[in-house]
Amino acid sequence: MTISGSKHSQFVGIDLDASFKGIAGDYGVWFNEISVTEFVNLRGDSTHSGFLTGVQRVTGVELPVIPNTVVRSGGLSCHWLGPDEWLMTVKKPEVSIMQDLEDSLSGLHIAVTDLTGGQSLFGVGGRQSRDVLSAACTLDLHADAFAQGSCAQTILAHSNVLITPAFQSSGDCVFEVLVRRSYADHLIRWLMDAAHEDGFEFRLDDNSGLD
Amino acid sequence: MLSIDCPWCGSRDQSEFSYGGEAHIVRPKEPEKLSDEDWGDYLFNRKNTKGRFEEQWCHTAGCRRWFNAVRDSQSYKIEAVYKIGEQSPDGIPE
Amino acid sequence: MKNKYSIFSLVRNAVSYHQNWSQAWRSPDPKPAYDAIIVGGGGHGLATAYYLAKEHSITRVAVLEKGWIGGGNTGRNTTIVRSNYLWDEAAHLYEKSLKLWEGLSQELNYNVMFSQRGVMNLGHTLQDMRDIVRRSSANQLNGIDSEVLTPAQIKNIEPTINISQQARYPILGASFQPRGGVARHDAVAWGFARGADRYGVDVIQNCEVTGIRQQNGSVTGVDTTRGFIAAPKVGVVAAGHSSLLADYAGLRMPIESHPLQALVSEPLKPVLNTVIMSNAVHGYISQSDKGELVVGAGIDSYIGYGQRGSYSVIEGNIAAIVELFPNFSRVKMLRQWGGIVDVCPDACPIISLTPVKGLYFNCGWGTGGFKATPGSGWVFAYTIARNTPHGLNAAFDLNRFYTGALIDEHGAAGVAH
Repeated sequence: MTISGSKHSQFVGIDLDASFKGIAGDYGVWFNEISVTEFVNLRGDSTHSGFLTGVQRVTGVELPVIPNTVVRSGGLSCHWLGPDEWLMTVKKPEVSIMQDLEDSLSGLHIAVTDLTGGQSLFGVGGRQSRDVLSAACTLDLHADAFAQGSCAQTILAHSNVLITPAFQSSGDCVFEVLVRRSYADHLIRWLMDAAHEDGFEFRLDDNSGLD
Repeated sequence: MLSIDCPWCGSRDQSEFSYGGEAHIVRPKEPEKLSDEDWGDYLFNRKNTKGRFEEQWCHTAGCRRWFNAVRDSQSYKIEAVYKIGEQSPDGIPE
Repeated sequence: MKNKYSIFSLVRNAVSYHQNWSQAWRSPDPKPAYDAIIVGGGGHGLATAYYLAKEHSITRVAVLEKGWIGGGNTGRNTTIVRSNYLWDEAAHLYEKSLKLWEGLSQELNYNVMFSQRGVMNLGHTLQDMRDIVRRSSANQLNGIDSEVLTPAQIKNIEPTINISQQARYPILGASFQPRGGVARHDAVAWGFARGADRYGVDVIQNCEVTGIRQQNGSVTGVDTTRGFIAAPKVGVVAAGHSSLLADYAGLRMPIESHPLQALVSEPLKPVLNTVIMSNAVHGYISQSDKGELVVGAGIDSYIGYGQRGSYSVIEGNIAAIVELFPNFSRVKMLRQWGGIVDVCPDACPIISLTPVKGLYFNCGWGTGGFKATPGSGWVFAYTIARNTPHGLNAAFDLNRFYTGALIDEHGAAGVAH
């Protein structure tokens, strides 16, 4: 099966039946596409209390000031990108923070930039997911080094990505991989190739971002 | 391969970084008053030190911040990293 | 010439089981003083000494080498020879060199194995092709053989190359210089050393220069690990270490030293007919007479004197080669090494007088000095002997970094830096 007709999915044109068929249903890796309704890049001075409270007023979260950490609340995530730079992702269609942030921080030396539509977000899960990603990523992805609450910008298969581990209640880890939209097709095809020997499947059922 | 300590992100692989050459080159405050020799010296001449050397790196694929490192250009050992605007461990101001 | 190599000397020595060949060059102790000292016993330094003696009758010359001759970049490069540079100044200099290459084995009575198998520079984008046409036209106007090839013509010369338009970076064409080729790098150093030695030049190995002495703005000699040696003229040809030597004389140089890596594969039967270079995917490859594929990478971004570089550079380089020649994907690489290249801001050398009287510098050849070995030595010898640059190297002086008359050859240099 290939997906067609959707304007939004990065899975368009990819042969979703290409999954390696080992033991039925016994896949080492799975991929899904996580729909994000808003990406906002935020820059400002984290030592300025008005800035921090202004952000909190809108998002309800405290900006992470420890490098390479993420704060999540409801459908909103706030990733540390640099000492004065953060990425907000919103996964609720009914919520938009862009304008509210601008209003709340007006008068401060800040930049709020709408990146929606320029990024793609994938989930990579399954027992072999760490090994598959490690094949083309120099970051230590082990849970001891890359724990819940961490995130990191790095290179995966020659593409700049932001990787965030999301641990499930079962203890399994799903790696959320954020990539620029124009690199997404390359990355998916690379992932399919890298995961081929372990077997993989596409999970389209939940939160797949299809319209 | 180098493993470089970004002052913010910690130890990362060299492939995440870009190189910025000699650190602590001071841009002339009034370039129009420089002689051609002084301007050429500022623009092109470099220390190119063999041994302990202050140089600039940018964590391009990470936090995208420039910082300075003291690296031995012969053994490639990175002896220190420090943020832009900080004094070098050898006492070179900013 | 005493001990001339010929079919007769070969026969004569065969009779004595090759036990009585004489030394190709002496190993003299340094004398207290010379008329000229050349610092650096690579190809360029030895060629300088050779032409000083031959063309200018200055034979009281010492070549000081801190290691063994040809042990630096001369013995580490990928041996490509060509002259298809864009600007007149560079084209004339490299073409002079190429002309010297064409008669070098005869001149030195030493087989430098110069093989004019042609050098191809591939284009992968429309802009590449525009640059190629421009450079090729400029070459033709300078009387340098250069032609623009279509993919089909490339395939005809090099049947194993992948000209599929489905490739990530498809080959759209190439410039081709049929007179370009490769030479045996060690033989070039040895041939010049032997040639210079015949004229009485002292080639002194294991003698590192540790200081440059001057008096009243004139050079008086050099301190070495084997003592002070006096000379009114000192020519420095030290590639990656040029900045250090300049420092001894209180000079600053517009040079940065970077690692440049190369690799050779296991020997194969003849499979490559020519030299293939690609700026866009970044790799260059030829096949040595021993059958090894000789592969060159780009420079590492950082300053490095370690004669080794980073794995990511060779990984990208090999990816580029496999893109061009998918059939090489299973060839094993046998050796990999690095040299220290002296990169200049305009990718052109400095062959120049300096503010210190009697001190001359020949450096900044960056990633592509081997091809210029004889020409570089020829013009540098002239510069040292006459204390004024030859017309061919007048534009390559240190002053260009102050006047702004740079000679931008990044495109023709063929290596990303």
